[in-house]
Amino acid sequence: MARRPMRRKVCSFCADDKSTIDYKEADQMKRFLSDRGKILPRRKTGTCAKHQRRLSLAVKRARHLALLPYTVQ
Amino acid sequence: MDELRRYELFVIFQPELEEETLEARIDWLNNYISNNKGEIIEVARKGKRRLHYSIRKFNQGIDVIYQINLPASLLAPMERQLNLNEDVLRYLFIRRDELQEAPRLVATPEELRAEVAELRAVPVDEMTGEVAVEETPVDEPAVAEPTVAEPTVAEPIVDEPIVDEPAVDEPAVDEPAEALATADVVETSEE
Repeated sequence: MARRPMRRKVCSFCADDKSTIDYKEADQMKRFLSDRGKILPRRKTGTCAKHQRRLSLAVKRARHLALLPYTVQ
Repeated sequence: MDELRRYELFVIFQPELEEETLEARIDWLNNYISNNKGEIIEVARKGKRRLHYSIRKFNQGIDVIYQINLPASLLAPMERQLNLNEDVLRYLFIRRDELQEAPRLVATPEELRAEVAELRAVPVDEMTGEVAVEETPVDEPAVAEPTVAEPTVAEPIVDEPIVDEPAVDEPAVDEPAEALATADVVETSEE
């Protein structure tokens, strides 16, 4: 039945009001990327819709500045 | 004139610049900004860094982050200048107010709710004593609303009858029977 580990109930950005999504913080965003550098879906990270939108924008900005990879070979 | 807007400008310079040329490039941007009615708030040199993919055959870049106020009309010409400069590998303008206001918007509804809860909780504290203070702030909004309506006045009054009732309960059941009985007697006797 349990196909994947139990989903975190609360979005990690909502849980901690101090943590903001900043495109300069590549290490913070790496947690939300697959090993190929793709943005992980909400169902895998538990991020809420609002923060997922901000996260994806931040990741794309970081990629433009080569702070994050577009792809990983 | 043009309104000044707060921007964050992230520039990646090519890594083979000499110290002096890098300073010259940073000065060039500084001058460009101040000569065009912009204001420089902060210039942060982040130093050399590995790029995650090569840009114009370079695997490294030198990061400089500007916090600036610019007239909005300067953005397009400034981008043109940055594009023309060979030493600038990449740049990115971000409206900084966008980054700052976002968390503020998130906080307001919660702050409002907390304020409302506090305002509602205060009269309860005064009337009933310190009961409400012991509750966790999270519970307050839910619990506070009902308590404000009834218990401030009602609690002390309601409590006493509740305490008395169990003791009086059993006799109380008999009373109406007696009352009825006596009433019957009175009625029948009259007839």
